[in-house]
Amino acid sequence: MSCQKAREWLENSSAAGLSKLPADLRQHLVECPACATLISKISYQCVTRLPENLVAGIPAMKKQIWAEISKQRVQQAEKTGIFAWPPLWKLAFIPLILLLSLIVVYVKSNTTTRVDDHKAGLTSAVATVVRISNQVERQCAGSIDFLEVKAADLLVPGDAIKTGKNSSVELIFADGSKIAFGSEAYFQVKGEKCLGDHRLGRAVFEIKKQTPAVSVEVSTPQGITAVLGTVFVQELGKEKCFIAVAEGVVEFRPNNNAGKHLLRKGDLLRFDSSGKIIDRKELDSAALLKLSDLAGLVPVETVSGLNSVGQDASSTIIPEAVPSEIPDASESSTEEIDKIIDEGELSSDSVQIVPIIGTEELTNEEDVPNKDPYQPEGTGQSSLGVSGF
Amino acid sequence: MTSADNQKNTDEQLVARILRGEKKLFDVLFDRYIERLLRYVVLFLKSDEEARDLTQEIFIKVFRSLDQYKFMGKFERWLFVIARRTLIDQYRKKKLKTFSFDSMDMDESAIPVQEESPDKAPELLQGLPVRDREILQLRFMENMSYEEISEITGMTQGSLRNVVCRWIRRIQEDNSDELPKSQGMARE
Repeated sequence: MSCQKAREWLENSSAAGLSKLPADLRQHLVECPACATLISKISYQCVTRLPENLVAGIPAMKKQIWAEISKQRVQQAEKTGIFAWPPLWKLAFIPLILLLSLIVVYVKSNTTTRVDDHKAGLTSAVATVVRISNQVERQCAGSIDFLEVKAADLLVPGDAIKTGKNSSVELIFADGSKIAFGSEAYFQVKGEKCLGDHRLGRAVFEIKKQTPAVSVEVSTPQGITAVLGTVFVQELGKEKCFIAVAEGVVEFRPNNNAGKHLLRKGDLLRFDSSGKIIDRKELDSAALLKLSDLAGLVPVETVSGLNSVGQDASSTIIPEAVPSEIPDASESSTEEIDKIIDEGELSSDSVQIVPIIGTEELTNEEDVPNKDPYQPEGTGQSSLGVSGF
Repeated sequence: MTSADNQKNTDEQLVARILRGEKKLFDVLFDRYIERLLRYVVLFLKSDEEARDLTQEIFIKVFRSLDQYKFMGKFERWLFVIARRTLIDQYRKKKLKTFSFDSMDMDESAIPVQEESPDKAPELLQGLPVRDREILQLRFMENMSYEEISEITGMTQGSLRNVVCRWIRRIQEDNSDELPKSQGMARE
């Protein structure tokens, strides 16, 4: 290689790195001191020697670089999330969050309301405790435990009220009807059609007129009472029971299919625990007042002058409704009461009893039932129908 | 794979492995290029501290941009392109106080001159514009072709060749003054 070629290589070769001199140029440099000096000078001029402090700081630089890379990777990971959003976007997101929250709250409350409504449909309060005296307990629906009752407690269908000795409680229903219970009474609240199940003890019923004029019922172990605005006293003892009507008409229908018994103002009907009719009698107002006194709980025998349950009923009973006049014992007595109301035959002032035939009116023996309508066979449950106007 | 095996990998192979998750292999690339990059950066900066910070910045940027490396051309060239762009970016952000770059029409006299260091470039090279020094360094020390230097600097290959030829002539003239006439370029 000539000096000219060497210079051309330096100026024009595709890669003129001094560390990659071709073999023929190396050979030339050995033979040519001028070119060797030139290369040497170029190398000398181009080599930038690094300051020692920079070289010494290279390991620290590496650590620093890795620390920075790690830091940036963490920041980048954070930036991929919602926090990487520009502030304005974050602000714009706030109304969206609020809107979503409102929707969630609305949906949730709506669901809760529906559930509550559903529950309310099943367990809406139908009665309120308004007066308590001494020991009164409440058994919540589905529970076996009795809890103390307080005034203004709401009773839902299925709830039961139990009074202790010398205790009383008064319930008021949504329609304004009231039931006052004396000592050792038990009453389970039901729905609208049937106010409740009176199982034990004396109670004074003040049933408001129903609008529309339909009857409500009070069930007992002995029967069902249809009610349409009346005041009556009902006592269910362990052995002896009675119904005394102070106002309106009450129909007692024993569960043993022994017909129905319409009771009007002043009527007293006694029956045993099986629903078997013992006797029927008229009471004066004073007697009714005494029976209505739940504090005293005057025995019915005292006010009615009846001493024996086993007394012959037929001799003392005021003529009752003829079973034949009652179309069908199985027919709802409340329907008949409602019919009477619809026909306008009855008013609260003048009570017209469905035709009743006294014993003296039974001219044809065939018309007389062989069986005492008030002493039906069987000891099954009876129903107490009460209708008041 | 041992450290020696890693050293045998080409730059492109290392980049591929880094991108596959072997992040630590970036150390190998760092070791390969740290001194070369420092030398390159020092050309433009009079402050060692700035040179160090900028070199760190370049490596961080390279690491973050590895997924953008398309394996088109040599990694080395890509690295120097990033280095140069980082230099210019930092200068534009006014983060570099001792930057000197003729192409930026910067008055070098305004830059505080550091105390002369024997480690710095020799007198002849010091007398050249920074732009020319960069070209010569890339040409003779980084073994780059005009095409590669053109990609890095953005200058045409003809301009680059002119700079190189002019400087070689100047050194040659300087050389001929020192050499006895008999040992000059008589062989030409």
